[in-house]
Amino acid sequence: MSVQETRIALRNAGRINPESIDDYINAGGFEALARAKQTERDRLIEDVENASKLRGRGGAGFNTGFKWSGARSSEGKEKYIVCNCDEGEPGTFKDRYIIENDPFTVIEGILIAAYAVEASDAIIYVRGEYEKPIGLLRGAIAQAEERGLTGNVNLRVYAGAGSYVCGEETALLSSIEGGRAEPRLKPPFPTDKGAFGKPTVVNNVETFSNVPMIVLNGTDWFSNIGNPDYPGTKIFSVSGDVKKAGCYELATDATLADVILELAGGATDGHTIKAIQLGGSSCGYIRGNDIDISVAFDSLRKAGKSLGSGAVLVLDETRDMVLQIQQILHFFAHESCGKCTPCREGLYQACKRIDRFVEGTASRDDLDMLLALSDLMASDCFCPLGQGALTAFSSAFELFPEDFEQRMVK
Amino acid sequence: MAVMMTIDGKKIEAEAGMTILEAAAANDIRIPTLCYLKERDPQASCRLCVVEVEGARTFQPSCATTVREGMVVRTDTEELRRNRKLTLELIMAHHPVDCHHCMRIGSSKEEDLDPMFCEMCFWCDCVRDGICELQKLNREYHVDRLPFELEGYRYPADSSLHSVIRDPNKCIKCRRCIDICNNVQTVHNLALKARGQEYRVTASMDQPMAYSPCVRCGRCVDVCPTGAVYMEEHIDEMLFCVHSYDTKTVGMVSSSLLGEMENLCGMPEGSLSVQKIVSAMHKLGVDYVISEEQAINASRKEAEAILEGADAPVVISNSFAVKNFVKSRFADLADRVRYYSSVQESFAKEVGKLADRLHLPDESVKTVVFTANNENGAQAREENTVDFSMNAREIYRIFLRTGVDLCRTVATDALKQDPDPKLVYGDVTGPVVFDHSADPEVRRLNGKLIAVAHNLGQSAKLLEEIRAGNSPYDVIRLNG
Repeated sequence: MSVQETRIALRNAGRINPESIDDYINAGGFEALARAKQTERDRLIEDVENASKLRGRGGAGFNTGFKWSGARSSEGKEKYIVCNCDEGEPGTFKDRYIIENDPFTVIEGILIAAYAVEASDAIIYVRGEYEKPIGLLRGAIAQAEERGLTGNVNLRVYAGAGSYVCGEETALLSSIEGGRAEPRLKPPFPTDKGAFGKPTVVNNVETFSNVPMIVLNGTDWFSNIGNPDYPGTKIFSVSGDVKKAGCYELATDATLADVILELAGGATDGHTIKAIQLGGSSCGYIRGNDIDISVAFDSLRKAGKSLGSGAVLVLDETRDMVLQIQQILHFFAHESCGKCTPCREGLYQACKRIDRFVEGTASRDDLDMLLALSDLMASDCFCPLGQGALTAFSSAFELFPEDFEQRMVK
Repeated sequence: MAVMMTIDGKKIEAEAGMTILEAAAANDIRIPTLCYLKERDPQASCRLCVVEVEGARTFQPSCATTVREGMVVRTDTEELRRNRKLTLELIMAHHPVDCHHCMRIGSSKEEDLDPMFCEMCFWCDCVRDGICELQKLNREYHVDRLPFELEGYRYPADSSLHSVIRDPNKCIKCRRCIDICNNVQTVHNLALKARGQEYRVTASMDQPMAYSPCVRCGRCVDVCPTGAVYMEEHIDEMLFCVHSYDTKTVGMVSSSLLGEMENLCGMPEGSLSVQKIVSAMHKLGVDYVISEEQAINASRKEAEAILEGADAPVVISNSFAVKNFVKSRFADLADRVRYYSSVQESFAKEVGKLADRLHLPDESVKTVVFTANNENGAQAREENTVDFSMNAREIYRIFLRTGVDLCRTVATDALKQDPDPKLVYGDVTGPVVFDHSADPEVRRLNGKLIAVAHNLGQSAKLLEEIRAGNSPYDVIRLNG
């Protein structure tokens, strides 16, 4: 096999017992935290922000250090670090994989961030269905506290109640506060007024698990890995019609073909790849024969695609896009918080229209309405859930119009 | 600090910190809104006030987006109008059609609908027909042929209180009522339930209103942009009474109505007077109209009597909502609050005097109050203070139905039997205007420190101080 994984976040996966802090420490764990604490805070943030250029791995690709410096410069004694492990994007399971293999690296990353911004509290928001990761994290925190590694930081796990929109950082914060899981207006941004109105850094699990290695090996080492604008690695959650589904961590200068053909083994025997949905249900499709593209964040964005959370859903030629879209739209209609009109009502009507395609009773009107709703929602919705809810549809229709047309009444 | 920006090609100067909506309004550029409520934090949930901001990836809600130096905004492009129309159509797909689609002519097309006919017809009979913010926008954006299946009736209306009625089918999820109930009145009754399509407003713990902590202040009714929350109407019963020969009706008109009535009737500000409504009341068939001052004075005299003998701090109120609020939230302080007659109750007493003087048998007298204060409607219902208490919307609809044109009525004075009494406490004991602010009004009068609450949230603050034993006031007036 020519393509190799580059493991940073998953460096300890399979090598340590995820329930044993000793294993992690023997593998060099918490050295980064000790080193970070010897570094001046501003310098540490400067390193993460400008030298390493670490960008958020949750889907938005926002500069991590920028959030840190924002929260650091905000007024107030109480500050929060929040680790987003809601992982609600269908087809994404990298955060679970990280935590189930090495919960300590996440905790170490969080503690480094907490040191950097002088946070008093850190909360790991884990989706409620992730019972095993929740248990592992709680165990890991208890062990870290026993060793006195958490210092003054009050670190705890918050189990979500199951809502896709909680992946959106402000909705997540509302959920932590005990309110409805609904996105808030920005500004104020979380770095000014986040959890309980206090300055808050919200980063993804994968982002935090990169932090210890950056501190330990230096920013030059990190920024030389992968694509210079989105340096480091990205974990891809590969699922669907491939031989070896699973999580693969690659340097960001890899191509999608490396992930799917080399690491995941390509399509199952006797089948060809029809399409790949990259980034999760809120992202568009890529044709099966166009997979020789770089997975770097910005080059994908320029091509009108998105890396998103790194979910790679592979569909073979037996898959009907209409059924895919039906499933996605019903998922989003179920997950819509209901706050804004286009999302609440638009998704309801979109579901009715796509159901007609599935029944084979759709007309041109139904198609036009879906297209109109997708325009409306992409530009008018309150939060990214609504804005991206019909992206999959418009992309599927653009790439595979025949799937839709053959189900329309002639 | 001033900010230079462009809205619809017009170079304008705006104050830093202003929203696009405010900046536009200050320059006579109208942006349609639905969930927006002045003076309150924007919800930005209806997505009708979206505008195009150059450089932004998506359309931005103008109610919640603050202006920036050099910002270029367009408020009325073809795409925006298309999006707003589709948003309205989406709302209407889940809205009862009872005003939108005319059952009589079988059309919802604007060109088929004659507004004059609409105002006379009342077939559709939504309490908000003709004065509905959603209906107005639908007309403006020509929402007539819905591209969706109509599914307007999904939930039963909650009329368990027989005063404040909630019809969830007509709710557009603007959250104004929730904001007022929770953040201004601090009653914490109305709440949101579920998500997506199931998402809706409920009373606390999803109970019927009659079993909820609702204090019947009726402030939610005032802010509802559609017919989702309204006061129970008694138009037919009232008209029956005023048109019966063997019934004598006595009325009163509150000056609190004027602003809203002008608004509803499309009259210029300041052009309407209580006397004109008094005359309209006579036109309807109301036999006697007692002046509001007469009732207010009676109620204030009662309050002054309480204040005279009491030790500080003395807490007074004549509000029905306050009474309910104190009962449920401050039961321990129930004895501390001294209640005097509301204006409506005083009016009823004045009617009694009038009936004695005119030798009218009690059972033949019916009382009608025109007031903007919805709590009066609830009080009339629950304590039988008067027979009919009607708010501005109801009165507007009565006038339309009976053909009373306020622009053409001649002012008539109401009956005033007694001269104004001498009052020590100024307007501390009189009617108080509701507002949204968080802190009560404090003033010094006759050497006494007086606090006047303008909403229940302020009342709660004052009561909490008393409970904590650190209330600095000599006189406290609570109001809902």
